[in-house]
Amino acid sequence: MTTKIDIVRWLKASDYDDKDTAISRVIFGSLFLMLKPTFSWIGEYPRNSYMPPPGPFQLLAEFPPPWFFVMLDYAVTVLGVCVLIGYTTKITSVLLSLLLLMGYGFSFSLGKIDHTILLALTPMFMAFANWGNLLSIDSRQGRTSGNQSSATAGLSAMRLLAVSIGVAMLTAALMKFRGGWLSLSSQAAYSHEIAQYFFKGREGFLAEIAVSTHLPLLWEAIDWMTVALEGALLILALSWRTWRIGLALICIFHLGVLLVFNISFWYNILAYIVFVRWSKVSFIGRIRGKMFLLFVPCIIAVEVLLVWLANFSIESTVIIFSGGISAFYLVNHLMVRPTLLLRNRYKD
Amino acid sequence: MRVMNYLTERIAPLRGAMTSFKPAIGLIAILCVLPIEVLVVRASGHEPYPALFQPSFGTVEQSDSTVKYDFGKLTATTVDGEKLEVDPYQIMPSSSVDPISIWSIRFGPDKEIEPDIWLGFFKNSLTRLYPHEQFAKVTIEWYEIKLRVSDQKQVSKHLISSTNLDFGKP
Repeated sequence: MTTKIDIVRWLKASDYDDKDTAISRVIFGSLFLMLKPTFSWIGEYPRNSYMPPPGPFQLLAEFPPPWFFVMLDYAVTVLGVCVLIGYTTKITSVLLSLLLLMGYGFSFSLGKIDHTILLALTPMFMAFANWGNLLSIDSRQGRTSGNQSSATAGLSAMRLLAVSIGVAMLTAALMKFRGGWLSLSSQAAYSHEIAQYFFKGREGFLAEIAVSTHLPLLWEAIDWMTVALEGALLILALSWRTWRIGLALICIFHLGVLLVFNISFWYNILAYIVFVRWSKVSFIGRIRGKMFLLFVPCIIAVEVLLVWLANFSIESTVIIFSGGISAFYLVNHLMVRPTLLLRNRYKD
Repeated sequence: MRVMNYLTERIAPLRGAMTSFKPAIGLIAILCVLPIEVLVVRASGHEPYPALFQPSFGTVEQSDSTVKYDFGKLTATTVDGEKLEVDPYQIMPSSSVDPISIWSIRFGPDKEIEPDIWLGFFKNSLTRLYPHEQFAKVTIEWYEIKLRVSDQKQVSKHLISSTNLDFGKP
């Protein structure tokens, strides 16, 4: 019984308040609308080429007609806007998740599963983390759920999202372990790099340097670090502090995957950003009252400016900046702050 | 009325307890997902959806220190007998799922390409790409290519499958 109570307490323990989750919603919403997945292309495939993966999509015999996917695109856009501005946030967030799960389910019924599940699930979890309580039309119209029970439920929703991310990453680690990534006789990451470079023509960023760097020890270390990081994330979810460090490492990992393999796996970044304590970021934390109304267009303008300046795709830009900011966070939290603390203690 | 009050008094603490344990139930459900997913993959041989999975990649290096890759070549033959090599990227609709992955999964060397399903798709795609040509057939050939890991030199390339889709008389 005591253990159960401790688990409940752990689930509800949170470093995040309504301001953090509200800013997360605005940033998630604006990035989502910029990177917005589309599904209307599915209508260009023959309806009877339907090949669903095991699961509920096997209940259908063929793809829905093309107009269905056009409507789905419109619905996802409208719901994305509703989440961004916080209009009936709880319902629209859950609906957005359900439509994304459905759209991706049809996309993957062509045979290839792209692991976008964390992006699709994030609005649903965050709907129950009260991310519509501030900076929203709901809050202006008094539709927020500010009572104690909903607040505590909100905190546990974020922990459950963290555990879901940890479990998902663990599957990747287990599959890599079974696939021989830890075998000292082969370097799986390097083999993949060769395949991506020579056969798929992914020659951008640092791919050429990576291919020409045939150092088995280095690549073996990359294999081991990848499996260790993906496997450890679930354990790091035990505490918010270690969780944020884990996510920062994963963001740097995604940056490495982009630079070396030219794979811009941006979907997860949108799930990770909800775990940033935005109100502790100095300039965001100081924004008050109606200044928040300027926040959304400012975020979008900064993103557009960054994409234009960097001349990369939006997807790549999101990964590059999240990786860069994560590196800064890690250096600050693991090196600079402890050094300053030690120095102050020594002075005292 | 007294019965209702009595029941309400009795149920209220239970409801409170349930509310506080709801997150724990959610946690148990999420943790149970992992073994269930493993069981489904083992039973069906395929990844289920929706499911909590992330990219596994797997290993590509062979026991002889080579990297193997199946390369698909698409050739369209006009009614005049002229052969045009077509980039599969141009045939596949642009999509948020990597079109080349769909190409290699749906038309791969071990796949049976059913003319009933795909004939119209290839006809329409080729007409879109070459509006002034009339085509008689498409040929999909798959080659197994091996590169040596140490110096990335090609060590072998051989044809492993060839499929023709005849469009019939124009």
